[in-house]
Amino acid sequence: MEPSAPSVLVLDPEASESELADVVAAAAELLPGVRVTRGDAWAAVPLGDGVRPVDGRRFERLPSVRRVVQVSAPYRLASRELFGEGVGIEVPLCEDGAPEASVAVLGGRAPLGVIVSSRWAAASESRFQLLAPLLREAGCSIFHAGQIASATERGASAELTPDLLRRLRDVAHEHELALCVEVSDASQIPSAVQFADVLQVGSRNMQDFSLLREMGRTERPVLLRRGAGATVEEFLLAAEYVLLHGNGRVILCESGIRTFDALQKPRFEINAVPLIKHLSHLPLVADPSQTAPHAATVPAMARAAVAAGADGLVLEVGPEAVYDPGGVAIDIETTRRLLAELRPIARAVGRTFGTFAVERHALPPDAAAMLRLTERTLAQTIESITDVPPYLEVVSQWRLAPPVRWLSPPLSPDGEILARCTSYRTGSVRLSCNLSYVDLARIDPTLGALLEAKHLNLGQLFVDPRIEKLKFEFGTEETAAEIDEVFRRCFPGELDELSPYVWRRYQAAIGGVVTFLVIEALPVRVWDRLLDPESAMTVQEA
Amino acid sequence: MSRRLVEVPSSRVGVVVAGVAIGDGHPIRVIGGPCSVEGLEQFRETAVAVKAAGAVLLRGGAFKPRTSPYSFQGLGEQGLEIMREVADELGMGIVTEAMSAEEVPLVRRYADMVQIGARNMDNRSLLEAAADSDCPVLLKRGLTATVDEVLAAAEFIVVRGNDRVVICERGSRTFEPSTRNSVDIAAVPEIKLRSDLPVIVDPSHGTGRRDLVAPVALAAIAAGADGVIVEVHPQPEAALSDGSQSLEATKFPAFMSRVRAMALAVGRSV
Repeated sequence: MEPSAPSVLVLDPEASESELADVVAAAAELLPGVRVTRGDAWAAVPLGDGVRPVDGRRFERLPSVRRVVQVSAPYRLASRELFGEGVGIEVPLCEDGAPEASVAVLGGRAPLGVIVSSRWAAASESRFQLLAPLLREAGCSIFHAGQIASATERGASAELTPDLLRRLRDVAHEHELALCVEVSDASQIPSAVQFADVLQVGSRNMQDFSLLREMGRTERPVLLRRGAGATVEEFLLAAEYVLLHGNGRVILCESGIRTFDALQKPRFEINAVPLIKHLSHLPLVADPSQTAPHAATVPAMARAAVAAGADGLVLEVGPEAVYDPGGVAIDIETTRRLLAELRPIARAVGRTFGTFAVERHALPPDAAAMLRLTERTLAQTIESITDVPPYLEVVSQWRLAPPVRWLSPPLSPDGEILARCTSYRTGSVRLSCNLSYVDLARIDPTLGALLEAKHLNLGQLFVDPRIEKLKFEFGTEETAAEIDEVFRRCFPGELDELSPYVWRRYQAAIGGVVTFLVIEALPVRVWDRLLDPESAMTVQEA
Repeated sequence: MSRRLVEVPSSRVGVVVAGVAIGDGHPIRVIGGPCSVEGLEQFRETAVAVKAAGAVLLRGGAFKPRTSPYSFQGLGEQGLEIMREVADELGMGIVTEAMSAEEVPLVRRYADMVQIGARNMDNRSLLEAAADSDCPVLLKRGLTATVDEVLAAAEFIVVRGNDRVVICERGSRTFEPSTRNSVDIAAVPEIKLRSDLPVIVDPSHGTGRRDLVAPVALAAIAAGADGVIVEVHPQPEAALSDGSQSLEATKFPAFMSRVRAMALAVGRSV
């Protein structure tokens, strides 16, 4: 052991306070003011100032010391050498400032963590009410509300007031989402800690060392963004500031660096993802939204980050794709599809992601049997078979003005009805034809607008357990002439591709009131091939 | 959003190099080989290894644009002869660099695809000579070229009637000292959005570090790249150039199996 090599004492996290106090007292002789840094299931103290010789062996004998690790990197507590692997960080929901149930683990071997920010939703509680269940269903675990209002400045409308923050927190917690806010000044920490579960240090503040020190004194997970001009080493040394002051829960966020092209936004630095994972045990998430040249490139960048080994993502989500100097937003449907696409990518790099497991061994025998899986939405059933989330194509949609006699009952006699013809597809293959009628008078107008703007689809709504599906009917092409006729009208020229088909028809009710009528049809030939266990055909080749 | 700079009507066909189609709707293509051709045995050993593991085209440098004039400059025509001999033995195509317009006819005689290196992206006479060579062109993005600039360079080739251009993102210089370059992964979907030309990524030059080659290659595939070009050497520590970023030939099969898994995850094959 090099006598003067910087090292770290990895401690027993269960050790008693007095045992830890002994270690701290001894370590403080070499590095004054040192304290125990606590992560999840680990505790550590840096040893020595890197200048004067240290005999680490003296510490190995202390009961609370598990091992003495020599560290070659300039950062010590952040170094991967401490554990030799990535270590996860739990994100608990904090009610009235006290941590309770954990909703996610970021890093280590945990499934991917997804942090969603949304300037659109953070601006009002009712918008967030709408977004929150969709986020949770899609697999997100943390909602990033933005920057907390400064204690000293007032008036900036984009900032979060304590009142709004409290309401956002309540909605987030109701849907098991943790709430994250950005803190740009140490004076904001007390109110941030009161409402938020995760605190962010933005890229502009990455080297605000007094802020970092104060962050180290809290117990909340800290999301630390890389400065646009910071090297990886400087980034990890900034994390070390937080760690050294006691808080072992630092989540790193790669959010782009400046390059020669000053007109562009900071470059999403993909190399940094595996590099940082090689150097540090801390979780690393990547933010493609802040760096994407436009919204259309966000999904590709997000997939790349996961493929490169990121532990999670930060995504800006809005009701529609928008470009904003602060980052591009992708719409909810794109987000849902992206998160579903991440599942196979995560698996390809030995990770997992997602809330519902795909059980391939329980394949239904044929298309008719698929339709009888009424507990799942059609999209979920398709995905469980093809392993690929289907893409919903809206073939056409229109409004039916009241009264629509043949739809009422069960739909209301005097409300407008949104009718839409859709198809689930994978590449060029049509996997289903669907027809739905939505009673616009009975749903939230914002929801109706999102449906009509194609930012949302019924499959997403129908995963909500409060929506009850009833009166299922099943049939084949021959058994219901009126369905065949409707399909011929709504999918002109495409029925040959669909035929022969099997169908199901059902109603969906919110609070006992029927609000949706749905007909879904599956082409038998396509599904015979896809479900054939002997067939080597993949969906792409279909 | 910018207009589409490059329109190629036959995009579904992709760019065909020695019978291997690169582009949308085609499998992920892996191009492997040493940075420099150092001799027949070295090149053959590498080529056999990369072919066995699933690479479909060979790379190798005969004319080397080295930073220092004292560094190994490549074997020149002898290197081309070696590559052609081995490629014919194995039934594969070759991608190799021409450094000047005058070199293009010579390189064309031996190679299946002419590479225009990052340092030559703005070399107009070279772009035109490559265009006139009636040979597929691998155009590497310059070290400090924007996406607009590399598309404009591609346009120089396409407007002269050669639409068989593949663009290669190979990273550019930043302030970060721990990697040689920084791969601009966002450029992959951006170029795909704005052009019909196939895009591949060079994670070897893009990182300069062997340990980062595989994760960045996987990222490229996940981002939608049509292939990757990777440096492989039987003994990287003894290589005459770019040893630190070359994969060991014996580790190449493991690399390929990761590439295969990622390709499947994004609905493509290898």
